[in-house]
Amino acid sequence: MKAAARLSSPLLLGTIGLLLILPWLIGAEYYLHIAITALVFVILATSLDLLVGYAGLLSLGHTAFFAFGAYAAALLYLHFGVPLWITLFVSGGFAALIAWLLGLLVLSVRGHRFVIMTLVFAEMGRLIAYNWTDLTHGQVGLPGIRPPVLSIPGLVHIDFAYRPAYYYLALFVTVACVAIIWRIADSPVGWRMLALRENERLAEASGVDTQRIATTAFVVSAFFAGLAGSLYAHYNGFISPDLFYFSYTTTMLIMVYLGGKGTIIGPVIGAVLFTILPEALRVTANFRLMTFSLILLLLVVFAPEGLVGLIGKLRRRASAGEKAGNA
Amino acid sequence: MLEIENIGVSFGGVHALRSVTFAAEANHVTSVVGPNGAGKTTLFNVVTGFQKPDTGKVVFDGHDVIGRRPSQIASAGLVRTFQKTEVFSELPVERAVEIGTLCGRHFPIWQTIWPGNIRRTRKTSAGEAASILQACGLSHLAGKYCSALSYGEQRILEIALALAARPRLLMLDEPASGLNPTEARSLGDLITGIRASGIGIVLIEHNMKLVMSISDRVVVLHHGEKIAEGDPNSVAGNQRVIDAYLGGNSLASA
Repeated sequence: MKAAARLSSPLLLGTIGLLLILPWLIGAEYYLHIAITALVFVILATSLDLLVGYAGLLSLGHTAFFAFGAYAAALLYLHFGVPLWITLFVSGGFAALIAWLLGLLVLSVRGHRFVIMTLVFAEMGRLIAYNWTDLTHGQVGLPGIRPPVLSIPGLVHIDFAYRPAYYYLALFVTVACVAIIWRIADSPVGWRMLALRENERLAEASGVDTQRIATTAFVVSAFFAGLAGSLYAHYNGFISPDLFYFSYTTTMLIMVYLGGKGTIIGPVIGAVLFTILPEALRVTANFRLMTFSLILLLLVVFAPEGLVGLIGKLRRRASAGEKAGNA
Repeated sequence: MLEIENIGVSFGGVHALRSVTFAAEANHVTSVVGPNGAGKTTLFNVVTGFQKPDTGKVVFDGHDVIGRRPSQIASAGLVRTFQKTEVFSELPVERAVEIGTLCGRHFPIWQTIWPGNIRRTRKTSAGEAASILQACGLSHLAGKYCSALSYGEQRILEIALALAARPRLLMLDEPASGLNPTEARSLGDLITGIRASGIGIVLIEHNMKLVMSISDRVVVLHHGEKIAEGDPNSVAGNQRVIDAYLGGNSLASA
C-alpha cells in the first residue's frame, strides 16, 4: 500500500501539473469543452463507484440524481439568480434528500429488485421533468443558466463564462469531490461498504448496520451526482429532460466497470478516457461509434477487472519477468 | 449473562422450537446438541436477531434483545458465527478482521474527511487485528484474500472475525464441521483459550468428542424441545438423550 503510494506520487504530481497547464497546451475552445465534460463525468463516475464498486449496490438510476441536481441549480438560478457557489451545495443536498427518501423504499430490497427500481426511478424523473411544463418547460428545456462571476471590487473580477476560467473552476471542484470520495472510500465507512458488498449476513453479524451503510452509500453518491448536475448546468447553460436518459447511466457504468470498479482511481481514468475516446475517434468518420463499441468489447474481454486491473496485471507480469531475468 | 426464556418458533405450523429455556454464563462453555433438525441453528438465529420468535424472551446482560438488529446485538457483545462458512471473499484477511474491530464503534461520515481521525482508527484497528490473527495462528495469512484460504483456515478466520468484535458471549455454530481431527483438536484449544480469557461460549457441535471434552454444560434439543440439560456426563447417561440419538451417534459411546 505504502509502496504503491510512493510509486504513484510522481505520477500524481505530474498529472496535477499537466491539468494545471492544460488550457495552454490545448488552444482550441472545443478541446477545453471536452476537458470540462470529462471533469463532470469524473465526479459522476467516482460517486457511482462508491455505490456500485464499494457498497455493491448496482444502481441504474444514477443520472437521475445528476439531472435533479441540474434542474435544482437551473431553477434556483433562473428564478432567484442564485449563483453556482450556492447551487453546488443546494443541488447536492437536494439530490441527497431525494436519495434518502427513495432509499426508504428501494433499499428495503437487494439484487435485481433494487436494480429495477432504480431504473424505474430515473424514468419517473424524466417524466416529471417532461410533463411538469409550468416549472420545467418540458421538452423545450431551460436555457440561460449562467456561470458565476467572482468579483471583489478592486481585487479580482473573473467571469467564468470565459472557458479557461470555468475549466479551472471545474478542475477545483472535481479534485475536491474526488478527494472527499476517496477519503470516505478509504475510511471505516468505506470498509463497512465493502463488508456489505462482500457478505451482507456476515457484515450484519460483525456489527455493521447494513441498512444504515447502504443508505449512507446511496445518499453520499447522490449528493455528488447532484453537485455535478449544478456544475454541468451552469456550464452548459441549457438543460432538458434528456439528462434523465438511461444512456447517461450506461456511460457512467462503462466508466466505472471498464475503469476498474471499487478503486476510485479506475473510474477517474475511465471517465477521462471514455469522454475523450469517442471524440478522438471522429477521425474514423462514419466508423466512429462502431470502433468505439469494438474497443469496449475488447476491453470487456481482455480487461475484466477494468483498466486498473489490467495495469496491475501487466506490472506484476513485468516484475515477474524481471525476476526471471535476474535469476 | 444470557437468559433464553420460553422461545417458540414455528414455520407454517411446524414447530421448530417449543418453549426452550436455558441460560449461558461467562467463563463457561455451554453446548447445544441434538440430531439434525432439532432447532439448534434456529435458536442461534433467534438469539442473534436473524429470526423473530413467536414467543419468548432473550435477555442479554439484563436487556431484552428481541426486535433488535443483528448488528446492534453484536455491538452489545453477543457475537455469532455461521454453520455454513461465511467470509468476506474478496477482501484481504487483515482488512476483514479490521472490519470486525469496528463493531460497536460509530463513525459520522464527516469525521472521515479529517485525516487525523482516520489515521487513529486505522492504527487501532490494525493493532487489534494483528493481535487477534496472532492468537488464532493466522498471522502468516494476513495479506491473503479470504477466498484464497483453505476450508479449515476459513473456519478459524470466522472465529477470528467474531473475536475482533470484542464479544462477551461468543456463539459458535458447528465450528468443527469439516475439520480433520488435528484441526478439530487445535480448535478445541482455541475455544478453551477463549473461555479462559473470560468470554462466555455457546457452542453448537456434532463432534461429540469435542463437546464432551470442553463443555461445562450441555443442553440437548430434540424436535425443537429441550429434553435434557446438565454437565456432560449426566447428559450422556440420560435415557431420553440416548433414545433421541438411537440409530445416530450416541453420546455415551463418544
